[in-house]
Amino acid sequence: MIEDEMFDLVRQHKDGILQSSVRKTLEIDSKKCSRTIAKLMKNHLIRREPELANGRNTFRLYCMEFTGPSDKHKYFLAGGVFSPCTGCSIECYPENCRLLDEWVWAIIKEEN
Amino acid sequence: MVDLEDSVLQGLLLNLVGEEGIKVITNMPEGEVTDEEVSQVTDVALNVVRRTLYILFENRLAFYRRERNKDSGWLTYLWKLDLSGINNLLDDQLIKLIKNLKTKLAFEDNNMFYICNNNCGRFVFDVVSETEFLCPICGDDVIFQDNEVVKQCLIKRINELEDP
Repeated sequence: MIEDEMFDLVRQHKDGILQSSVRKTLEIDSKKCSRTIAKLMKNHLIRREPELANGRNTFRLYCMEFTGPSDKHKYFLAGGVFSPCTGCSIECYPENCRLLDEWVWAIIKEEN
Repeated sequence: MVDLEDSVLQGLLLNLVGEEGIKVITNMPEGEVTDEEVSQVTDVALNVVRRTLYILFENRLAFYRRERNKDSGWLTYLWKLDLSGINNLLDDQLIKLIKNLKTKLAFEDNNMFYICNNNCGRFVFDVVSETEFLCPICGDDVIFQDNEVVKQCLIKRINELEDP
């Protein structure tokens, strides 16, 4: 499938690859290329950034491979308690959420 | 490769799909499988498997393909797990948590708090002023609580989440 071919091609280029190069390498027209890219982006498999190449506006495509939680994400944890807002689907008022209150007190406890 | 032993990922998945859901994720067979096959392999009830897969689908962590049986016309859903989008989900959740903490900080900033000696709860000024500064639950006296430590903790955590 063209999606797989495109994803493999982007993955091979750690510094990203121009959209125009992808189109030429895979020998597809620009319409098909854009639509395939949109599909891959929708599935969070690639991302693109605008770039000016040879005086023309194009995009550079990057593969989005899983790198693990970053330093920021470690702050979801407080004294072994995980942030209750993360993954919660209840429409709540954070100021009155008992679980969030407990989490905030876990942070205070952790720091003192 | 996604390390499901990571405490952050464990916490996220636990909040999303629960313990049974984690069992589904860790034991899910490779490739495309039906929900019934997943249920058999993981030994988790079919309704729990379906619920888990739909939650994962909503969060772009699982995908399905529909196949129609030509004879019966029945549709079969073939599921595939793809946790590579979990970083995006973590980033989305990070934004949500920061927003909630900022709301909470504004609430702490704009209110005075009172607590009951019997640990009945924490009440805002408007509530206890109507009960003559007696606990609305047990009727005992309430005492003023300085919330500076809470505010400082919220500011610090917001900063850490925004820019560690």
